[in-house]
Amino acid sequence: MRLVLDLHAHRGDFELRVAEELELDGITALFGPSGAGKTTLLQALAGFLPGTGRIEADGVLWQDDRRSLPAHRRPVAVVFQDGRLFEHLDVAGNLDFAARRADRGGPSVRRSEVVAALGLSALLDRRVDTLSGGEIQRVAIGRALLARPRLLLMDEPLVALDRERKATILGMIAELPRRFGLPVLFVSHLVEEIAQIADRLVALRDGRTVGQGPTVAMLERLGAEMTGHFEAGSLLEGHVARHDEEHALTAVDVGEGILWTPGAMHAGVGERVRVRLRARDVALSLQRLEGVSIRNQLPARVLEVRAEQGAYAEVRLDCGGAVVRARITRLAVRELGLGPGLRVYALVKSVAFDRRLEV
Amino acid sequence: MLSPADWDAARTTLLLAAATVVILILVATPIAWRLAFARGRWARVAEAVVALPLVLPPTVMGFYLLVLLGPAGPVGSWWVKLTGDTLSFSFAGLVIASCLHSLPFAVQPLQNAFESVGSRRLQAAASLRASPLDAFFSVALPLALRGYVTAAVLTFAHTLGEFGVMLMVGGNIPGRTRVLSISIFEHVETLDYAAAHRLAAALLIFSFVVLLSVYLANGRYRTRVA
Repeated sequence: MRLVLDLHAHRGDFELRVAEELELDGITALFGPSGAGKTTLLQALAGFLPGTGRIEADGVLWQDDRRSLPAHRRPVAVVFQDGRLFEHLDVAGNLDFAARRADRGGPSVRRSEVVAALGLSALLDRRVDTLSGGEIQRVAIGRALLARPRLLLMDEPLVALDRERKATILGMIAELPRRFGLPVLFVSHLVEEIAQIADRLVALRDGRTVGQGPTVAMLERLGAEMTGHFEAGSLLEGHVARHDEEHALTAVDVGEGILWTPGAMHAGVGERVRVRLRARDVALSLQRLEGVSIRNQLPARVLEVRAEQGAYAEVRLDCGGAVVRARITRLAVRELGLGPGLRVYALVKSVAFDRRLEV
Repeated sequence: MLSPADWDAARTTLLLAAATVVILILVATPIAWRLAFARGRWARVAEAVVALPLVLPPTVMGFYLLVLLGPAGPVGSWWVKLTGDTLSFSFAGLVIASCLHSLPFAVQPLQNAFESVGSRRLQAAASLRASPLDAFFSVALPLALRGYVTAAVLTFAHTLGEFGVMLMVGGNIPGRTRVLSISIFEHVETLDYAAAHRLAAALLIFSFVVLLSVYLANGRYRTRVA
């Protein structure tokens, strides 16, 4: 779906001003710190904020300054942060609510397929107020799909969930575009979530778009300022080279070398995977090291050293074409004599990408 | 037991209460809906107007209604032209007065119920392609069901107990506008305490049974009026 936006919304001091063309295919992340206007933008798309500017989707006008297609006539469905299931209906009733009102012109979505994809079969008879947070969100996703929307909007659907559940549901969300033939716009302020599932990324800040593009390139471009120092990192794409069943490790070939990771035993050999390295988990060495516990040593070349306020500096490395970030102390930068062009080894502890590797 | 005149009064009272409940549920729904979702100063003004009968002396309200509904009043004269009958001192006039007098008892529970349904769930319904009317009947109404029960019971009970407005607007015409509360007053006036006791006890027990059955049916839910 192609969206042409020219939006301007005011909420007290906050102003959203977005003029952008978005080509939605697969999963597009709407990313930015809290208060950037992500939810406001999503609500405008859903039709909850008439009079906030112009939205055109695949050549059809959804709203401009004078008219607005009401929310119930837009071919979108929303998965909210808080699920918003209907308490007077059970799980099956919530699914039926959407199925009965489904858009016959939308992508064909079979109920049995939805139930299977989201693992809902055991929940169908349950009352809504007996569901856990993760179950609520799975039902909410299923309900939204059954309305047969042409675009699925997700507003931080995992924010209330614990780590384990989050990982499971992220995996399910990643499958949706292919399985049900619809694009997903996924709002999140967490780099981890986005790095795992998003094909493209639209970055928002202070009510303005800062840019859009493929996830890997965009996360690299945005830098620590947007992604936060602790979350700052990089994404490497590679394919599964082999599994070490005995030690439960998987070798991922990222081009310049092999990364051993414990979190990818489920991926098939040859499958393409994405590995996220946090800058704080990457150390640097001038030589290849022997006799250390660190499994992964990738040859790299220093691109740039950025000193920060305080003790730390961020080093950007060229690792066989991919950019890897390392966050080390300024003292280490001086003692190793790090500067652009220098050849080094990036050391990554294997545990660093535990659970951070997804298809 | 009860005299034929008392039975007449009981019939008039029940009929009046039932009519008030039916009409008020229909009228109070859109008002409560608007108040639940409206913001700004005018909504608060409207809330105050709706709540007026709670604090106004029934005689004040009855007086204004009598002026309004009387054959010379703006509403009353129109009614005479339309039906040939007067509104004041008639059952129809009693129904109108009773509806206005009990308005807050219907609006406030419904407004509370709609507020707790909340615009978030209605947004969810809209995003699932439910039109506003569809969302009202398929989401808001079932979720607000307890508010409706509360509104109906409070309106019913309040109408049973009303005295001042009834007397001002309806007078005391046996078989037409004489309601139970006025009958009791009349028995006391004529020093027939035994008859007054019978009616008062009947009204007391009946009201209690109605309220108790609603509380039992609603379980933990509490009837609330501001």
